[in-house]
Amino acid sequence: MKRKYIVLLIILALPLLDVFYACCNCDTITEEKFYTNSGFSLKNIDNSGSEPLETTSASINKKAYGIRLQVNRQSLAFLKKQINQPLFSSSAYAMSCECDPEVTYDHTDKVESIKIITLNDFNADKPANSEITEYFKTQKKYLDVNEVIKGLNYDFDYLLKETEYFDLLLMIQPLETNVQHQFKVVITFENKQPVELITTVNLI
Amino acid sequence: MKNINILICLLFTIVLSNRIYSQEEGSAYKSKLLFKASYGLNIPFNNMNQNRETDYLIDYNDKPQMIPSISALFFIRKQLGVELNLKFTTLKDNTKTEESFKQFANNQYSENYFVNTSAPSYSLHDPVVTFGIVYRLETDKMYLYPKLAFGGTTVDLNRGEIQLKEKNTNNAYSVIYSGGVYETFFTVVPSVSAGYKLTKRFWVDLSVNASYFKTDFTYDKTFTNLYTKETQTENITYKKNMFDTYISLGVIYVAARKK
Repeated sequence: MKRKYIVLLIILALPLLDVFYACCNCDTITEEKFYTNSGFSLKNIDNSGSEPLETTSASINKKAYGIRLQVNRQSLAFLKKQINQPLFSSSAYAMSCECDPEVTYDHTDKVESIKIITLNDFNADKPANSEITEYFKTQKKYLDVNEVIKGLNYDFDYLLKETEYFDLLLMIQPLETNVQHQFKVVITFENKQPVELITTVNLI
Repeated sequence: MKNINILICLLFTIVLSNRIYSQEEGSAYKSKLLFKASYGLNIPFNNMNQNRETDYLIDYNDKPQMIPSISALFFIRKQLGVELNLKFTTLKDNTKTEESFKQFANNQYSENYFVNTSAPSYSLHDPVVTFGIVYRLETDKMYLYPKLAFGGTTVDLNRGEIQLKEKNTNNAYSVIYSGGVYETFFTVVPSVSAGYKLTKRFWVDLSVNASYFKTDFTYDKTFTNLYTKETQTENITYKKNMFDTYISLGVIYVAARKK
């Protein structure tokens, strides 16, 4: 007889437990939107000061030169809806109390690689049309250019960052004799044509 | 000769006073468990400074300050007891300290670099905890307790960081100062308490103590080129004898008395 009561109590307690864990009051629907990297631009930066600044100056100090890759993103019309339904109660994410975002923005065009090519002679090892990607590093953390790919393929929660830029600093200086330089940035995608951007500068 | 005379006078006073107290023994020496709350002036006689930037990262207040203390005394014999004492030291003014660290870094590096600093302090008020023996001399109205205690003084060693961006170049560096989180130093505290018994339960107390500890810790200064990841490490060692005195006024509550 007693065992029956215990089983009955456990069955009744299950929905109560679910309600107990439903402390977050999360929305049950996550809108999964998509975005595309709609436009890229390339600018010269002068890092002589405390922070890099965009410049249109023809000549820049070669020890403080860098390029700024700017990307514009655009939200696309189609979306998916994901419904999160707990077992009994209407709003709950058991245990964690962390809600899924109400809206997410996933990338559609996946960037595969970023290459930087010098169009003029850079130094003895790198004549014109050589790849010099390894000479550039990200600002502050000095990571490889590949790290920018992660930023371009980023899936956003809540809000789409419509404009973002990535600063790449030139860490190896060209030969004294080579002043005029042109750098080409080639961005390749998994599912669309590559993008090519060119910038010109005198490195003094 | 002069010292010997002083010593004889002192001994004579102690022996004589002990005799006087002994005459009134019938009504004294009744308290068993006492609790004391005091407030007073702590005066450090020296500081740990080495005129280095790490001086600003050490949470040890070397300025005179008013601080509270609490203690519990328990008499295991007529004239012998034990005492547990907590003295609440106040820490440095963290805003001023961080500003001084920033100033030091600027003076040192601002000619060639753009300087950013951070030296956050998460320190709480670390009490100086001591435990020791108490010798008891009492009359009906007065008491005198010479004491000798041992314990630990905790000094918080905050982390400091300087970010350097070289002027007119793409180079950046970091300078990190790390000394662990804290160090606790063995501390010796001789002291004397004297006072007047207002009632059976409440006494007023005047205490004077001196404390001594020896610092022995090292800050590691790591200079890193953020591009090449090359590092240079320098050790900044602090080894110093530290003395301070604490003069406090307090109230004693007699929680338990001998029947």
